[in-house]
Amino acid sequence: MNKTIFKQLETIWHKGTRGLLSAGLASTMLVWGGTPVQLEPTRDADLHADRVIRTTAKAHPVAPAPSREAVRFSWPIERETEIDLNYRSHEATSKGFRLLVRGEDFRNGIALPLETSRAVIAINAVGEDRVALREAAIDPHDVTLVAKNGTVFRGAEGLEKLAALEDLQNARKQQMPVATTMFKLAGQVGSGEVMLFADNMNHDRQDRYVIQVLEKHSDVALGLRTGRDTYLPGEPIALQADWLSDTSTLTTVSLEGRIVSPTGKVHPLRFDARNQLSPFTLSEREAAIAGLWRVEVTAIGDDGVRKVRRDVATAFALTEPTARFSGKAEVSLTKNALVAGLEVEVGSAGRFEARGILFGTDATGAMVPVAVAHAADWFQPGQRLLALHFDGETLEQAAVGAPFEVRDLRLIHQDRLGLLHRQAQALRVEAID
Amino acid sequence: MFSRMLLGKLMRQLSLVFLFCCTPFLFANTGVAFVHGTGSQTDARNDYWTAEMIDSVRQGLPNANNYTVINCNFDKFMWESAAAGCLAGQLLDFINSKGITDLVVITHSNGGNVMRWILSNPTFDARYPQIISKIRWVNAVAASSLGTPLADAAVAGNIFEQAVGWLLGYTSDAVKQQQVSWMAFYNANYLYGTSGRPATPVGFYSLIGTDVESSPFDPDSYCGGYTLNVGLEVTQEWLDNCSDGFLDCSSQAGAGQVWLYDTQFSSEPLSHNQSRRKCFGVDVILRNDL
Repeated sequence: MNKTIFKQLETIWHKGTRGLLSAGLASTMLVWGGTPVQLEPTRDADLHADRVIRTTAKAHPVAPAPSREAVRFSWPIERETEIDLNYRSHEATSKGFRLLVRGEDFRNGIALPLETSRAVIAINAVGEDRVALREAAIDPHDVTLVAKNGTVFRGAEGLEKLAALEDLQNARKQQMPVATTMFKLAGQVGSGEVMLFADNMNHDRQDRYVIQVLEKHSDVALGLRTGRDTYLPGEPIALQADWLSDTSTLTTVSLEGRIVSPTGKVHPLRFDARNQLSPFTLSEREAAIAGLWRVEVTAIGDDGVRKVRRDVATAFALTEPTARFSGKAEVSLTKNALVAGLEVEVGSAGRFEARGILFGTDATGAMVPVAVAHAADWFQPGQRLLALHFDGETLEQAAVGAPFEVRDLRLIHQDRLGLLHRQAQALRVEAID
Repeated sequence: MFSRMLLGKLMRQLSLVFLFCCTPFLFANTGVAFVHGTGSQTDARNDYWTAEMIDSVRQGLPNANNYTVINCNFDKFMWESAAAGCLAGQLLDFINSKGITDLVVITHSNGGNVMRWILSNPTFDARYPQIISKIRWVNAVAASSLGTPLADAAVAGNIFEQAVGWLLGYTSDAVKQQQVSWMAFYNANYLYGTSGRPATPVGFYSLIGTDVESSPFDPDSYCGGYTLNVGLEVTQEWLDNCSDGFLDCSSQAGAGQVWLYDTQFSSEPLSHNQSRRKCFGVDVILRNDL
């Protein structure tokens, strides 16, 4: 670590200590005797950038407005805490599907391909004029259902539970779209193809509607997960869609999907004959858009008896590589503290945070979690330093000693909410003379 | 579920014992802050919580005037200056103006997420450590910690072909944020307290509503507003069997330690609207915890 960086470290500690004192928190004076070390190599499930890019904040709107000053913070955690470092992305599951229809379709009847009875249905008028939407909303009492066997159910006859529009609005305030109708079908309506009609509406208005059907009592769900929850530009985005059922095995009849950017740009997905996603990447320019990306998949499956339709959506982040850990680090272990200084290669100005979990060795020789530490500062491009500070009192109370490990090491671009680095096993600290 | 609950209760009791024996607790100046859920509030005392709820809970304070009712814009994403930034500002003003040294924060619904943002990202804002250092614990009532399928439905209900109405403001950022997959992302990367993740720096204790009852012949259904409960009973059909009409119990219990289920102190379940009102003794539970 060069002198410049060391000087920055002193500045960080000075400013950081001041910040903590003003916050009324105990602070331990740093005794810096850093021993140079290297971060461990990253593994497959980790996230890391091989390079950094230089962008300007002007070109990329900043979502939050975080502090400019250096701030650090740490706290102890229970040794029994189970820390999951597998970084497995969330699997979204769905037992429902969506239909996109127009007002005139309610006159001719809309076929609902129901796999099970007692489905819950939400009908939402879509548009930009809220007044018009309210007028377009469908009252559940105006619904007519025709079961597969031809039985006609008018109004509430075919509904087990329904709410007046104003009740739904009262219940959900602004959290429900303004023209949502929701009801549950009665058991006697059954399953199979059920026709949905609606009266007392102007069928010619060309209003658009989204019908969402939830087959809560079905055994068949569609699962969807991305390979990771965060990608860097140019990395291949992996998707996995699976039928989930305890009682049947489904084969996929069709599979369609798309990725929607935070600003609404749509990227259709292509699947091969084996329903595998064709290679798909997103560009650096697109990574500048703050927010999560939406992945939607629509699938039709066949269990040999019937076809089942499911729509499922999940989310992932695309992050600009505005900074990265260079891999160089220094550690200092004294009775007052364990400090891990991490060199950060900054490509674009911003506020960056390092965070990690310290594990220590207990009397039985087991590695146990001890504390969490965060450190953040505003940096201009160049080689910078963030230091994680674990105070000696915490180590003493936890009754742990060397070797220590910093796990779950992360680098975050705070003012762009970008996760830049995530590493399960990052740093090992043996006893230092 | 039960073991988590027992652990939660044990942790709280140990914390309280520690507070009494090892800190100058008797000299603490205790205060309580009420943090509302999704929505932009200007008079949350009356519009969100109701005055009778606030006034009942604050009677548990040594000085009943040491309370604040937060009014922020929680239609925004939790990290935004109008959300967590606003919350931090109002909490710090309260702490400084009243000399609060022991703060209990009571959140409802998405307010739990905004509070958890502050607890989980202490270096994001220099004010956050100052606030965290004064918090005894957070009582998160009906917190949407794992999101809700109803938020997914609200977003999906606005997407029509290539039109992305949800991006044009028809669904607030807070609703987008509370989609299940989005909360999974934020829990895995920016928030602490969920399974497999470190705990927050101070205790985050959840109180859970388990059901919705709305019968026109049952006076209990009118607590908090009858029509509100009617709507929630229908939206409950979109959720698990254990839910408060807006959130699955698993979401409410998804972060921190489970403190109480409504069934442990009341014969009536708390719907999502009732858990922020003076219904079935929830105010007494919160009052006695100050």
